[in-house]
Amino acid sequence: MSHQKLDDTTSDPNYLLEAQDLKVTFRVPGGKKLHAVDKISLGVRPKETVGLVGESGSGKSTVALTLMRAHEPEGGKILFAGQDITHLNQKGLMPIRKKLQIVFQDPYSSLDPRWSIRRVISEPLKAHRYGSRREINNRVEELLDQVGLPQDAADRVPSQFSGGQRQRIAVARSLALEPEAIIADEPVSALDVSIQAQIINLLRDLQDRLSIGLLVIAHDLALVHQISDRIIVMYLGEAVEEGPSDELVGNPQHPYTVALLSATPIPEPGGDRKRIVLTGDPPSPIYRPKGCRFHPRCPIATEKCTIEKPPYVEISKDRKVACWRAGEMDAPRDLWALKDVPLPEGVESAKKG
Amino acid sequence: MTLQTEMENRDIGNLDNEVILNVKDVVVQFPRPKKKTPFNAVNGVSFELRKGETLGLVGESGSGKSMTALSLLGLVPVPGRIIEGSINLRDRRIDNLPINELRKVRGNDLGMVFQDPMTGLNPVRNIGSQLCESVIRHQNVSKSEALEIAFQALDDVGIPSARDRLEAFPHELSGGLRQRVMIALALINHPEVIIADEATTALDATIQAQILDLFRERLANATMILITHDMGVAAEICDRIAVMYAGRIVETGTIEEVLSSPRHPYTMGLLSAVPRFDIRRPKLVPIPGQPPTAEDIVQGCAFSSRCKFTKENCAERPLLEKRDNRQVACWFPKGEV
Repeated sequence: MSHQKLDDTTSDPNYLLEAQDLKVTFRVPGGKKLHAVDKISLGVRPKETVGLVGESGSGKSTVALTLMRAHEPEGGKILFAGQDITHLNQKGLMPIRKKLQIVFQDPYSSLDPRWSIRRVISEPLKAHRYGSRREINNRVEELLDQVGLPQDAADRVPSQFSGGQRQRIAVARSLALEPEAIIADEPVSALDVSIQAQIINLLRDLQDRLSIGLLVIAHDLALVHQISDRIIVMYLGEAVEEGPSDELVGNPQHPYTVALLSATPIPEPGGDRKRIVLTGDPPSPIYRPKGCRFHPRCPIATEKCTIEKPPYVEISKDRKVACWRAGEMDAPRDLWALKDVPLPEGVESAKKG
Repeated sequence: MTLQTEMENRDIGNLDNEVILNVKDVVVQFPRPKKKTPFNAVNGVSFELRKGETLGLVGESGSGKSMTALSLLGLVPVPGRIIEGSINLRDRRIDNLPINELRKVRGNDLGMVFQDPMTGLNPVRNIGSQLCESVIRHQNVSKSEALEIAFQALDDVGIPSARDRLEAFPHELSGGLRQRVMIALALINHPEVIIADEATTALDATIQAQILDLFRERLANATMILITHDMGVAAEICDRIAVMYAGRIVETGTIEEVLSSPRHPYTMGLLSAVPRFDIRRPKLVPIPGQPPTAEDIVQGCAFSSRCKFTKENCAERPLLEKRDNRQVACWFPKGEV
């Protein structure tokens, strides 16, 4: 519908889910504006996993909710399979909702505590007139099986399940209508490590099997790297760097990405590991610094950075960065540079397949 | 069967240091209204903490790591209580003290950093008065002296313009600064032992790095217990770790030993499940199933239902035994028969 006016920084006709210069602001007391998301452009291709990483307040969850049309964007466009859905009304959205689903962070609050699991999973089926009661029941059983839960789970209520199991239920619900794309907002951050890996692998398996485009939103760069084909790093409502996962992690260009990588603790005895520690806190999205938003915390900021905002430029295919001094940050790179390190004795690495 | 023996082959320099805290066979029990048998949140935990070392208690939610910390401070929430075991601070038994004695121990001898600084601090009182209250309670000083000590404490933990912050309320500070205030509060009376319960969990990655740096700079020689679910955080600041599962310690050793050559299948599983970007790994290896909850009645090895090395022996509970100078509670450490 609206493919004519694609600007050259984002246009990719292959995108299934796409945000173009998406801008979301909120009014706060005192008449000020909170700039939650500032001109983000991103796209998810079919069967692709894109990771959106940022710290709290970076606007990553607002992106998720805006893509789902839960927030009204102040500017920019949301496209699904080439169709502009930015201002579609609820009725017009119905067919889109079927194809675009979301998994929320907290499986304790995203499931109605009084509903049986059957009711939870069949709700989207009923809303979209999936079929007879029998067909719906069959589908619920099929879904429970897909996410690795027993059939008798259907007649229990959420409180009878652990966090990991509840997240499986939320995943089953999101899969019910055979969506083409799923947005997962911090899908494992409420779970324990040993359970996290279960859900991550489940999402990956399902995506492989069902050919779904997946947008994973998380604060944990190591986790996002584990499942994503591409990663987009957000800071204060803006994208600062993106690229194919291994490239972004192996050769980060933006000082913030370098600092994020360096800040992540690695379970390896290393004694006094040298790392880059950013000073200060992220600034408020109400009073944003001029120039590059990152400059007050950036270890290599120059005068130019305090005045002029760096453009988000493409440096190679799928690789973009917004920094005047991209790639100049001198970092203890051996820390994370992708290595084929032998894992500790007894610690496993699954073979691909 | 204490960690003393296990320390023998260590050269972290504090081998000869005196034992500050000696925890022996502690059991923390909660009644289970729906079941006849009670639930032991901590089920026979023993360890020693030597002067100048940092011990990491690592485990997932429900493993009993936080409850262990609370039992040290006499803060086990009712209706739970310590029903067995002893906790000694140097030569003094502290698990059966009356409340007024216990109050002196808290702050003076044991300082605690809680996970969530928003609930750890009083929201309606300014930072200065909260710090001063603690100083005046434990040190014989005037109010103005206490205020000066409070300022110094904030300055020491790297809070910028510390003097102004004395006037600030907790909600006026960012998460990172609040956590620094919590640390200042824990350190202000120079306690012998610092207990930090998930002190960086609620923080963003870059802020967590700042706090970990603070720990390393200011608390390098402190005697400390660090409770965390994150093996990476433990690797950064601990000398030794004790891995907990279902209320028990299942493996202990120096951080180097445990991370480079884990023995207990649970420790091995945890390390296989953590995403790491420094290692190419096509897929994470999860631990199947889930840990036992307070409702489950566990017999034998609590990990056996999730363990791939389980054999018939595992129906009987393995004790925390010394094997090659480390302690492991498993019949088949590393899957060996």
